[in-house]
Amino acid sequence: MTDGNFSRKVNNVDIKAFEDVFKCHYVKLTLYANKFLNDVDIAEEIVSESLAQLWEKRESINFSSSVTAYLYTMVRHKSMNYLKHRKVENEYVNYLMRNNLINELPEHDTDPLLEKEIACQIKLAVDSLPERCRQVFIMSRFEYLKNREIAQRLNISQNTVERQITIALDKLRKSLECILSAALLLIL
Amino acid sequence: MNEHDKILIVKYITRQANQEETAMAKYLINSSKAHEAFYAAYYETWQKSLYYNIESIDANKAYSNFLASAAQEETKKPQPSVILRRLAIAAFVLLVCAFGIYFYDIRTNLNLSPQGLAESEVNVPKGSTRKIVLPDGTKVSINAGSTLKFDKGFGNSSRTVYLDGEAYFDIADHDVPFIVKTSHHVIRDIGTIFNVKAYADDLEFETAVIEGEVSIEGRLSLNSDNKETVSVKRQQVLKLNYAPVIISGQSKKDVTDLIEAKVQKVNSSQLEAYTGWTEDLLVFEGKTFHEITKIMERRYDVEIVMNDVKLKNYSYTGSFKNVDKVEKALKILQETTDINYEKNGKVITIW
Repeated sequence: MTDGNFSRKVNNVDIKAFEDVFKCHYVKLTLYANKFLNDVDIAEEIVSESLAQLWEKRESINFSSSVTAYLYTMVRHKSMNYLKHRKVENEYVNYLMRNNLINELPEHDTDPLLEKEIACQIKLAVDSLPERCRQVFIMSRFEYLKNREIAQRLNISQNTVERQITIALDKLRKSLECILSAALLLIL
Repeated sequence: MNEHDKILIVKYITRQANQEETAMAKYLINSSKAHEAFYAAYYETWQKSLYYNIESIDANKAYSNFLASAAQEETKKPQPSVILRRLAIAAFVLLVCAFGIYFYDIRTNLNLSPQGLAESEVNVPKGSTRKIVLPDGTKVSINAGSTLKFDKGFGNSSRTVYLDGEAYFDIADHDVPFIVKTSHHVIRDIGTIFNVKAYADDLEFETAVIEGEVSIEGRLSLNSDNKETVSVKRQQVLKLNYAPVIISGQSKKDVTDLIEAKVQKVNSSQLEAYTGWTEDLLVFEGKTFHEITKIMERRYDVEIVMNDVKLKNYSYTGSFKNVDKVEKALKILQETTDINYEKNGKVITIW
């Protein structure tokens, strides 16, 4: 489905077309919002809110550019507003600003193949971490446990937890570097 | 770049750094290109690692939620205006002058004897709130009409506080567990920010967890008198409601009269209803007038008399931001509902 097609359908109050857009963009938009927020729960809330607004405004919005770009812009604005409102400063946002990267769309959105490859590479890399390291990393990333709690549960020191997470990220980064530079080579 | 800097920056990325470490990490990132590059690469890796369990971001579930709330919107629309209908608009956020709440350090204000032998007690009268920092660095906001006590020697071998009322805790990282004791329950912190509402003269008990996790011990289920323990996680609220026992004309909470116990999941905007008071934001989401007047009595140090049972049970939705005088609050209520009131000194009658 192309974006132009969608805008017409949405203007016709076609809930099915909206459902497609919702489900097709939800995860990617959440990852995008998370870049600014570094908090998946809040990212999901902001994306849901943005999509609900798209639905509310379905009749009044003139989709001059594509729906995708519109959604990304909305999610970015909302994320920034959230940070501002909460007086939270994320250094990564400052980094993007300093380097004029704030308006860049994530590479996995312009290249679905690359996205698949990133996902695949991450799975591979996490699964091949040494067992203790993998365990610590998963507890930190997906179970939202604090370093102190992980240390308590596994009966290791907090320093060890910190070191293991750093090692895990280091390995993941190296394995991603391979495919990202390979992708770059293809373009060249 | 040395190992120590790397670990510090990773702690910041994974949101495990305390205030001091965060400031240090930011400083490093801003002052050296190598640190900045390291930070950006590892931050992006942290983000991408979500792909390992990408199913946890569930588009189907989010879509069902959207449908459910859209349906709710639809059914709400045609309803004839109930007394509080206009209150949908009452996201009345009145930005009146902020009233001063000051952080002050208990160590300098309580005159503890050198050995810390005295038991410390902070009384916050009705009509005010207060923010304090405990000796271990834990930040506590204490709501109107509450008392917080803590043991002699707090922070060394134990970190136990006793609460009658409502307080918001942002616990400082420490090896000794932080414990809040209320009249009937014990709340144990596991690295957290949480809000406890446990006024001895209220018929409810509430604990809302903003970050981390707490475990709560006490009588928690309707059909058992035994003490139990439940763990409440991030963005969850434990609520207990009690039936009134009338003793010489005064209602009193008794453990045996627990009539409702539930743990609810709430999103971050709903959490405001529990923590908003720390920023002088009172959020009422479908609260009854009876509950609201209780909160107002404490907030403004007044007595509210309401004899109409029907009125007591009316539910109201709206929020007051920085409304510093009870007259203003009453005026908002009057404009958005059909109530009348009369103020006589500290006594307000509503009908």
